[in-house]
Amino acid sequence: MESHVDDRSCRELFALLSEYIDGELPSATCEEMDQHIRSCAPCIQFVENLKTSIRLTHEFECREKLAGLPPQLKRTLERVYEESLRRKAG
Amino acid sequence: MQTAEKPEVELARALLAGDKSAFEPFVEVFGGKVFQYTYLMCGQREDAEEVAQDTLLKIFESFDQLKDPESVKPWVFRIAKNYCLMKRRKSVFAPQRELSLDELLPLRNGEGDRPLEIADLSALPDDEVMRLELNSHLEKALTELPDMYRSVVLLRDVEGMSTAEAAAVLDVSEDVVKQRLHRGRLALRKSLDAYVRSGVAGRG
Repeated sequence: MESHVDDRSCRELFALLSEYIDGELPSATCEEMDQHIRSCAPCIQFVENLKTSIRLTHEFECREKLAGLPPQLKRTLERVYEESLRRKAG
Repeated sequence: MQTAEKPEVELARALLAGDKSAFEPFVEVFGGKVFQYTYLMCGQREDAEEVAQDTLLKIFESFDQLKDPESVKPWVFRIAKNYCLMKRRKSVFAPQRELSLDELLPLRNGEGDRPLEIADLSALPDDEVMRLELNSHLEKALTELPDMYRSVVLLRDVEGMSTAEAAAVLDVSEDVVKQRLHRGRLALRKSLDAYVRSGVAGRG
């Protein structure tokens, strides 16, 4: 079993994939990558796989939730908020 | 073109203007977000609840120091991160095990343009059961990520912050955020892929 990314251009591309997906690369680098990916089936497959994984992470929600805050804490939060507004105004 | 303001920015703007009707929704939104972040960073419900409460108290005590409502999210998470650090007493964000790109590379079947040995994640059934299963596996995968990658993934991909915002929360450069995000994403992809290919997913 060997790694897919033994091809030099695939390997260089692999290191920049997140920036490529996030649109954070300089346009020249992005165009070069587009050109390579269009003609490389394993790269297309991997980019799609990574994009789906990122989407699932974005949709992630922890099963544990914060229980309701104690009423006394809520009253304290409201009080200190109002004090901070008075400081701002004053 | 004017884009709609994010709900949390709207709430912060209202609170800064003295609109108290925004108080409850703000507590609800940020209490939940901060708890999720600290629970996944601290790993314990009691610690996460305490950090979430301390963070909310600090936020409202210093609400007059929030200069720009647009930056409310990084401002809140920076406070939460600092309480998390204090809770753990040691740096939860100190460099630990580094993930190398080599260990995150996909495998291929033989030579040339043959398909990679990876699952087709996009072909998974789009139903509630599968969503809950993947969510539950993702939670496990996230907690198994080394802390420095987990914190970046939580801020960038779960919370949707920009690179600059995550860098400001974590006190690191944008390049460091990008590098850690990429490795964290690749590790999560690898874990999800192994989970789906093991056939556990969807078996009920």
